[in-house]
Amino acid sequence: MGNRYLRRLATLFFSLFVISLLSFALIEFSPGGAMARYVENPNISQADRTRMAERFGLDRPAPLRYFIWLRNTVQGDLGTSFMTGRPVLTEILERLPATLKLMTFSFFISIIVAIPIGIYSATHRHSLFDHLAATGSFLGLSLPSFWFGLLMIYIFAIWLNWLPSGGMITPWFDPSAYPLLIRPFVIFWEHTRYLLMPAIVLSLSNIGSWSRYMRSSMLDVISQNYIQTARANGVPERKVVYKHALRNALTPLVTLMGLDLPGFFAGAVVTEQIFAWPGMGRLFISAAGNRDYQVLMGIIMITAVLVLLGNLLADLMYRFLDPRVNYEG
Amino acid sequence: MKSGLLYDFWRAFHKNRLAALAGVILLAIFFLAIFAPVFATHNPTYIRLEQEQIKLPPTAAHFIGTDNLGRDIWSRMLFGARISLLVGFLTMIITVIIGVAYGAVSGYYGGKLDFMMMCFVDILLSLPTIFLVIILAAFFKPDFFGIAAIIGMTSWMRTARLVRGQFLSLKEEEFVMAARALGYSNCRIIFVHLLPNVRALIIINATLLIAQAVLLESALSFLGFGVQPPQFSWGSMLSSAQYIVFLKEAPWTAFFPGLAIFITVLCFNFFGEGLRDAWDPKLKNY
Amino acid sequence: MLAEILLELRNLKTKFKTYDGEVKAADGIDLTVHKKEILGIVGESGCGKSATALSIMRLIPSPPGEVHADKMELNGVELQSLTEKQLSKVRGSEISMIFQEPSSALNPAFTIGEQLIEVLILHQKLDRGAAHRQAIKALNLVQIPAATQRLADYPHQLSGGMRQRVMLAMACACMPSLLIADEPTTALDVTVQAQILELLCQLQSELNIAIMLITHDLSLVAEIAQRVAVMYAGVVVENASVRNLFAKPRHPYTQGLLASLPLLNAERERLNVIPGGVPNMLNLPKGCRFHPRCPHCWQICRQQEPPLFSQNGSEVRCWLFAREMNK
Repeated sequence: MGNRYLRRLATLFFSLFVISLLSFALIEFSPGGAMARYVENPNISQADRTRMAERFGLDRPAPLRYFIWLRNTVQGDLGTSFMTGRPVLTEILERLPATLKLMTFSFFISIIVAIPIGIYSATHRHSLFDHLAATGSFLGLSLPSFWFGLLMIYIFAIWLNWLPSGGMITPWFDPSAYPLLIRPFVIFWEHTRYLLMPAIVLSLSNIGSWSRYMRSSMLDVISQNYIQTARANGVPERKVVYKHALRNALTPLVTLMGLDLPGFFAGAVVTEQIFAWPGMGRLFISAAGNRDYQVLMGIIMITAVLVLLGNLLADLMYRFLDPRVNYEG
Repeated sequence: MKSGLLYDFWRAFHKNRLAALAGVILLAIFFLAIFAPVFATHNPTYIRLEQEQIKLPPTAAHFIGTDNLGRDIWSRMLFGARISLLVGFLTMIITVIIGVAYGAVSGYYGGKLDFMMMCFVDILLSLPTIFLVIILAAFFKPDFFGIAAIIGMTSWMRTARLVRGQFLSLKEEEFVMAARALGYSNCRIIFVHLLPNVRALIIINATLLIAQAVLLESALSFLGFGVQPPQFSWGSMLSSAQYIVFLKEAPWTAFFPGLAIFITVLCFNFFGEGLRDAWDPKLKNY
Repeated sequence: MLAEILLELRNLKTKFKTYDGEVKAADGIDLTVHKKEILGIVGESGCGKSATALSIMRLIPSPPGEVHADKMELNGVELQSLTEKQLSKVRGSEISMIFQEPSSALNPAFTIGEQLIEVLILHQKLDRGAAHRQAIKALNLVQIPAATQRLADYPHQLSGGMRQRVMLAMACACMPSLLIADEPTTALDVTVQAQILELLCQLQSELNIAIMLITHDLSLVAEIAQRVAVMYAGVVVENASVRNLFAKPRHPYTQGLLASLPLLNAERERLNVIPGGVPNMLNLPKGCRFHPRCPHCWQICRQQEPPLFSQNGSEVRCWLFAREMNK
């Protein structure tokens, strides 16, 4: 079994290598290359550009630069941002917690909503609720998230004025202004009220697809023989569903969650933009607009690492939920 | 066979009212987009910056108001539909061509080649598509055709997987053996003998792909990386609503184009699901 | 042999609503199971054996299923009047059931121990430690070696025969009075089959359990059962003691079944087969269900369904015996 994880790890590094090569090539072969954004600036002469290119090491041939980039990256140096002149890693690590906070919160919302809907739809197949859930999931999968976000901002921030329209925390928020007893609640609410709308927007498509998937997975399991056995042995229906069936129905869902992880990051880009959420997605958008290719590379690599680690985690979860896999491997 | 597919289609859509309704709405949207000049009440690009012309709420002259540059939103939505739908269809065609070819080759030849090709797909799938799309769109500043190409080139992987799975099992069938025994070339077997067998699956997938492409294009344009002025799509019409002040003053400019995207995508999804019910009852969620 | 009646089933009707129409899986079944006896239920697949068993367990899903019987009493308790909660108490402790596929009948996500202990705690209100000890006893009872270690195993780590033993252990752990065994050996190797059959006999005699053995294989019944009910297309066509049935099969269908058994001292070159196939349950023939395949079919068989005729302790659903009685 140790072998198995070594192999997984090797695959992981190979994937990262291919991704880095791919994104490097992508940026390299785009018109104008990394210096394109200075071409239109009349204040920067051709000589200046050459000098800048030299300083960034851009005059060297591409394969060599890739090699240098790779060597630095392995040593934990993702380069320097053109925009700010600061190390890319610092820039990203500053933004990453916000993105992870948003994603974690949204992940839990998705699970808490999607799984019960899926279970109830499966155990009450063809009921009114089941049909409503089916239609609802279609709506969720078809809603443009940015539009839905704007609608929510209009309703809850502008019209009702219940929630802030964007940002992550009130700049002048001071928990010490509240009595000690209610302080934790105040802090919790302060964070939640900013998180709520972006997290819901980000959860939308996940809820749509996960609840459908949970339903069909549950239906699949409920028709299995061992469910019949549990019933025949007098296990009460509630326990049949929530213990015997659920455990088995969750396994495929865990895999799906791992596969949906890239989509989660993609959703975060749009969501962060709408709600002015100071995360990695916003950084990516401004970096793309400014051709800050070191930052772009850095974000892609960090995301890839997170996605691949997430998949690994999903794999471990799967093994935990379904003991058969360990045995056969 | 063709009549079989059509017959199943007709029978299922007769029963599945929702899918049939989605189809009718889609036809209506196509019709409006094709004959946009007929239905438009104003020149969609005509800018009027007089104070009494900008951000007008819906009135008799402007069905659903005007935007921040005094342009008639209804007319812009009609013309914007052309770009949105065109990008959707073009993307679908590109995705299907790449995905089917890739998946067919991978599944048909199998073995090591298949393993490597699927490895590559897995790697690509672990990257958020929108990252690549944004980079390409930001660097190339493409027109609508370029955007379709970019989205198409970054979202063919799932189609490839799907087709590959089908081909893997299909190639074991006897008629493939027979075709091989007759000395047909691999290319001929793939495209003439095997491809027609996955026709239904590809059409279902294509319908859902259009929905995804319309969504992705609108998100891209919303973020400002999509079609550039003077061209515009539904997504780019919402772009300016990112500013809270603007959303506050003229919510209708954001509401109606977004609603159009929503309805169109929803209809494509329902229609695709209807097709699936009609042709592939196995795939249904019971 | 006048043993006490354990289960009495009168006029059981189990219907399934499908898109193509109504399927009557059981269409007026009468069965009696006495205490401590082994009753074999024999018939081709699709004749309603399993549906009958599941109806008794009250495990037919509704919709699409629908179960009604004039009487379905276990130890004098009408099963149809029980609530879902009361049923949970009966299942697994009064009646239990084992199934055909031991490979899929155990939950792959839990260990053998977890599944056994759950049942014990559920029915006998034991604490965890006591349940654990009881579980080991149950595994010993079904002759599983190294029972303590096996408790920590997952089902996929056991062989098919072992899994069926575990199923038996779970079914018998709470000393039920009736065990329904639905094709318990069909999916197993021949040698393992024999072991499981032996085990069934042993459980019956040691624990005084009545067993309802459902099978398509008459030879199994011949080996261990005391009485047999032969089913055809949703009805019981013959009900007799094993000795009577094999000595003098009355119903033409039973005769056909016996004739199709391979004999060890084979005098016949070819196996006899009953001509025709199992009727379409959506579209049963009028009159006697067996008449299209029956070699003795006459006028009335095509028009009217025969009732059960009693003869020397056997019951037969065939018009031939009406004629005999009239004589």
